[in-house]
Amino acid sequence: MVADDWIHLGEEAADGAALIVPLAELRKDAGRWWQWSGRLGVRITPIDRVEELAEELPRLDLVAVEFPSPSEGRGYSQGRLLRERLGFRGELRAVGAGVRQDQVFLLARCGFDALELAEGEDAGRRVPRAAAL
Amino acid sequence: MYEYDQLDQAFVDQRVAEFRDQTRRYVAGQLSEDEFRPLRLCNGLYLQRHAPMLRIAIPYGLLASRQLAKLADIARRYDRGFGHFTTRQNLQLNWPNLTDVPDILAELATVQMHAIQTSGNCVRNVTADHLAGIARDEIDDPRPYCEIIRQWATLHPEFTYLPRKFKIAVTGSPQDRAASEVHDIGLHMARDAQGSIGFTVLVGGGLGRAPMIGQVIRDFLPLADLLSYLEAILRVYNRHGRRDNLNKARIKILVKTLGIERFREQVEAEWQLGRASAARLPAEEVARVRSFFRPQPYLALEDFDASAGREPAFQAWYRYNTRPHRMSGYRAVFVSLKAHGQNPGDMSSEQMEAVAALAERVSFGLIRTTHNQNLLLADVRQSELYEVWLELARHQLAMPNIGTPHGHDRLPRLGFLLARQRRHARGGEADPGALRQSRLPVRPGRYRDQDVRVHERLRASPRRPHRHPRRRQARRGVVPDHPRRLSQRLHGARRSHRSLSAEDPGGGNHRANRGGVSHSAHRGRALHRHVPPRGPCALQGERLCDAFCGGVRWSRTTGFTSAKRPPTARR
Repeated sequence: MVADDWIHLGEEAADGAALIVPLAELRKDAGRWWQWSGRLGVRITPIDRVEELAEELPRLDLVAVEFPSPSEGRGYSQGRLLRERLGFRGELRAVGAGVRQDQVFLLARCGFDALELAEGEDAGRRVPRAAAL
Repeated sequence: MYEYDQLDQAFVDQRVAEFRDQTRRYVAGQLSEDEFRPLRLCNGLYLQRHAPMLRIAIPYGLLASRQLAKLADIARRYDRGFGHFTTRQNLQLNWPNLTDVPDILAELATVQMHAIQTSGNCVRNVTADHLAGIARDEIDDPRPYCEIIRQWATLHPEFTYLPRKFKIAVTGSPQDRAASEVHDIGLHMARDAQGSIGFTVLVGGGLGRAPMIGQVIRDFLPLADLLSYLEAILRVYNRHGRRDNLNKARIKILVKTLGIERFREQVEAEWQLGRASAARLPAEEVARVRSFFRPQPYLALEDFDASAGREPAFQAWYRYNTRPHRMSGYRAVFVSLKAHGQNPGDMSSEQMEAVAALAERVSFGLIRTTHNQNLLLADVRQSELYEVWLELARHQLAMPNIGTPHGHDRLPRLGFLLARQRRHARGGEADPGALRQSRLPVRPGRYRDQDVRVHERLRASPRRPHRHPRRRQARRGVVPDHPRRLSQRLHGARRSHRSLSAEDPGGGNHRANRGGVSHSAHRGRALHRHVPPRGPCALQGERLCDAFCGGVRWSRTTGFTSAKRPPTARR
């Protein structure tokens, strides 16, 4: 568990803050977001094709992969592709209502190095096991 | 057979401890039903309407005597003294207590068994030809490759939350004895021009409500590329398979929607990209796993006809329930779990113990389960067959009906498939490639027990209460069982048939009314006479029959259609 200085678009963001922008928003208003003064991350949904991010990845510090439900499995493929095929070296974060402690082990093996647990999930309990693995 | 190393054992033990904790928290109310569901499912536990069901994995159907004895013991102590062998070579316990399940899993772990990945949307138990390693027509023993796939797929991080369950079967001989054509992926062992081992890969087969035969996606896949290619298929499926509709989430729907060519293109593209980074299967690893499946220490014996001069009952059993063996002097012996009045695949603890002891004595202590829900003693000396028969007969396990539809009264009748084909031929449906049931009228009540879904018909067991509550009532005597329902079906069929008017031979919904079993029951003979069984539907039916019944078909009106008429049972 670490303090999180990243801010999702829609939350209150001061100039120069580290900001996570949904991919659709990034595409819509590319000029504005690429000029952003702070660090920039992108948030992708299960249906986004990560291959299309290939050229922008070096300029991104974070990719947040969305897991809308616990049974959603596409994010695991996206994570592996980002790490193994596209060579992404920044932070790879799992976000959304589907991120549960039980998935920590799987997520870590797919290249994720951060996660925002869904609301109501008790972060403390499973962390020792994840660390052990 | 494969033996766990320390890592495997530690992993399984840890899983048991973890599940014990999870169950305790669920019972104590600390875990909600929703939270507990994925946890129990990844340990093979279903909570159904009447009772939990625990499905225990039997990888590629191979069991040691001590494992079968342990299963018998568990069934007696924690269940009602019987277990149910499934069409995917696993064992189900239908009446365990939820709070006992951690203990059951702990017991299983002591004999290197578990229930991991027997449910949920992951890669399920990999099944194999039950005559693996002993068949004369075999290209190579498929079980080492099943084991390799099993190890690769167990807790695979990327493929644990697929759109739907995923089933793989491997067959080692040109004759498909693993029903691999109706699996999500079917692997047929093959050799290329240089004689090296590989696979023909089929994809998109399946049963259930939209039965389909798998299509060849790759003619020859070298062994070293096995895992990278499977990974490519699964990744394409994981990313593009439907997740919005449970009934359309299997890979067969994706393959059918895209067409096999486009699906192949996507898989090949993915494979070429991922192949470089994916692990190739090293020859040493293959050799290591293969060493677990070495041939048994057979004696040098001569073949002879063990049935000569014996009583007819033994001869019938010999003819139907034993198969030739690669080694002379040996035969493979089926243990029939299809006695009259018994639910296909059910086996009592006493029977399990008897077979475990028998296998210890006559078949190197190994037992196999088959996808036809029987057991197999693979390496029995021909000189011992008679005693084996006596012992099996003593436990009602020697019904001479292997390879016949006797145990498979739930297969679709050929007449039914032909009727379907005729409807296709009239242009009633666009795609004759798939046997679809969806156009039949859904009338709850009237058609409920006329369940014509192929998969259900293959595997339904009256003792699976969570699927067949009516049958449970039947056992209690509330509802008379089969005969009445049978007559209802026939009467229903006649009524709708009579209501046809001559002016309206094809219109209305009478054809749909007569669809399914009642239709074929009434018209079976005529269909057999007039319609050549050659269209795609009938072909599928035939292949299903081949896969499950060894080619013998049964029609309610004409009896066995093949010359191979099995003998009546003698007790």
